Amino acid sequence: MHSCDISLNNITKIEGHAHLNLKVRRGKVRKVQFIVSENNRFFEKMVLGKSYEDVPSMVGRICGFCSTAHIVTAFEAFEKVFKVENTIQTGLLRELLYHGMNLKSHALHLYMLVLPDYLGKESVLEFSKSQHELIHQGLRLKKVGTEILRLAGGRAYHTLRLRVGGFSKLPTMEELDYLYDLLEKAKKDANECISLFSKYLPKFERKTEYVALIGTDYCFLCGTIGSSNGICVAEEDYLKHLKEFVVPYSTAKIAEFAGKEYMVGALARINLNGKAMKKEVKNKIKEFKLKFPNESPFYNNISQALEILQSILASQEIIDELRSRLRNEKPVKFKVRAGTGVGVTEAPRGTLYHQYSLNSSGRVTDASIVVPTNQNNHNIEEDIRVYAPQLLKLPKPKIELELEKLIRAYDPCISCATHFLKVKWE
Amino acid sequence: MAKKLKVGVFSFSCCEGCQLEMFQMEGEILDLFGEINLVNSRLIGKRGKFNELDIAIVEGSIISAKEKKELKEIREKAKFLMAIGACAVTGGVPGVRNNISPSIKKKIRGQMKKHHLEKVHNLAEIVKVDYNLKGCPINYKEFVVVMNQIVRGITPKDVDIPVCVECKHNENLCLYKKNKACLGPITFGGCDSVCINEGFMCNGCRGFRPDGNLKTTLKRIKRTGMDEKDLRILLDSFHSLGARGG
Repeated sequence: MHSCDISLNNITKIEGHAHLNLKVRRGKVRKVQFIVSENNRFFEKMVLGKSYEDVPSMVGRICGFCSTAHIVTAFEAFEKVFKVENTIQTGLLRELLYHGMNLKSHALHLYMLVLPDYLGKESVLEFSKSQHELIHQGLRLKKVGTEILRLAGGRAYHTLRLRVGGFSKLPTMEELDYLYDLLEKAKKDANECISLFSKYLPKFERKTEYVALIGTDYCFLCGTIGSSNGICVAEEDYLKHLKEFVVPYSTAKIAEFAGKEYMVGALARINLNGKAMKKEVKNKIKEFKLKFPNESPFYNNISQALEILQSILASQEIIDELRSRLRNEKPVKFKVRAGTGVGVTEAPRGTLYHQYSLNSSGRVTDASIVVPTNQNNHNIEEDIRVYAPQLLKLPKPKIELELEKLIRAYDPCISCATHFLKVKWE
Repeated sequence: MAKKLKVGVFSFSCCEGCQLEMFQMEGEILDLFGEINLVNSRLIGKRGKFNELDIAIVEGSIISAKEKKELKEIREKAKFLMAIGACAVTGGVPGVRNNISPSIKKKIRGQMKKHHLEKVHNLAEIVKVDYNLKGCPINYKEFVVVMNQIVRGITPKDVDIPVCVECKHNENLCLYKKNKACLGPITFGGCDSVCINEGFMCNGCRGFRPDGNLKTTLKRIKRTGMDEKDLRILLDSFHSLGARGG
């Protein structure tokens, strides 16, 4: 088969609504469109005129998977405006929340959305009795994440305790002990998760650029924005390289970094900052002969599995430190002032940017949010442009499945992608 | 064994957090799915064809003509339709756009014409809803209870108490005592006053009770020093439709 038209409608097992249109003629891809059809909810405009106090809980509702990331990133931006210096304890607790969110998000994605494809099932509901243990394994790993969010953040979804300069309530010593034990027990599942997903690595590579926060630590909240091409920019200068575009066929924007498509997420983080991971994780990379840096988007799945172990180990380290230093700290006092602030963090799916301008009474006059999925959309299209011709020997349903696998490996989150769009229809 | 009930889960404009909260069930979810036949859920990958459904579970608010049409189709096929989460029940956070100022509205005008309805709707404004499961996000324990009732042919009853009842049980100091605003007195309880437990105010995500004394509560909130604009923002955060959640 040298020519085919493929349109995948309402792609399943991703967060939100998206389609793919593909046109191949004589072995050449003539058209590839990754179409996001979810309706925009105009978050960037809805927050205008609202006080900085009301914004975080609102933007948290952009996405159920990563609401904590939206909330923390918004707070980071406001703290820059108010020149708030957070305490070490606040930093540790926020990092802990990110690990919890990462565990929850990655476990759900890998076991509920990715695994059925590789076991030849339509969904987890068709798993055979002997495969049920895998569902339980995924849910156990996810539970560790939701328990961290519940006890450190106040609720598993749309966390409640975050404030400018601190937390409204802190976990107790007993809760920290409980979490530590839970994490200890989860290590076995995490190791099995890596071994499971190391088996599912379709062969496909394409050179592209990777972008993530890089630091001395494998940290989700700190560092500078770095790329595999050696570009390094401070958080507030992100607009120097990052440009967002509107495409007429999709309700989500696409982004370019330094004029090219690029990828963000777990794979980008390990490619750029893998050396900062825990020794146990690096040993796993060696044990399963995984190659990093890697240019296969399918490696994003195994990267997430590795990050699950990384997050478990890092969380234990944070809890250990908190147990020795936890004090009843109130949020730092600050003065509301006018200005513009940028928050940049590594959400489970990649780098997340929130920029707000506030007036002197702390009301939002301008807002801009760049989410991971919009940054990946362009890269997905370019991958398909190269990957589809390699699949043409296969029967059409198989091609469709392989393309869906590729899209799913990116873990797209469409709710995030359609928070807002500034439209210029051409 | 009795014939398994056909259930479909559908998602409109929202964060899909309520569907995720359903996955919190862990062990219970497998038991429940053992009792029902899940024929449609895009999130977990089921997109079966169906002519009729016993139960349709719908999350999200309705913001486009396409969504409106799809919802009507679902209603026609479903014997029982349950709205889950604030977006579906009250219009939720997407509904904030209903009351943004005309100058901001102008900025999103161009795109609204193409995709969007003039107004964000909850489900009850478009179709008959058999039960509203409230909250942003829903509480999975409540979901399990309610689902078990529906599966057994019982229409669940609203928990008709204000948030204050549970808040007292949880021994929180009333926010009004600290001279802070709170929508607890007029909002449907059932959430275990989770927000106030964590040092937040109640922003009314579960919808206003028909019996709640809105007028007095708003007067009391004004006495905390909150100005008209912020009060409007607070009320709009989940009640752009002026909808009473029940």
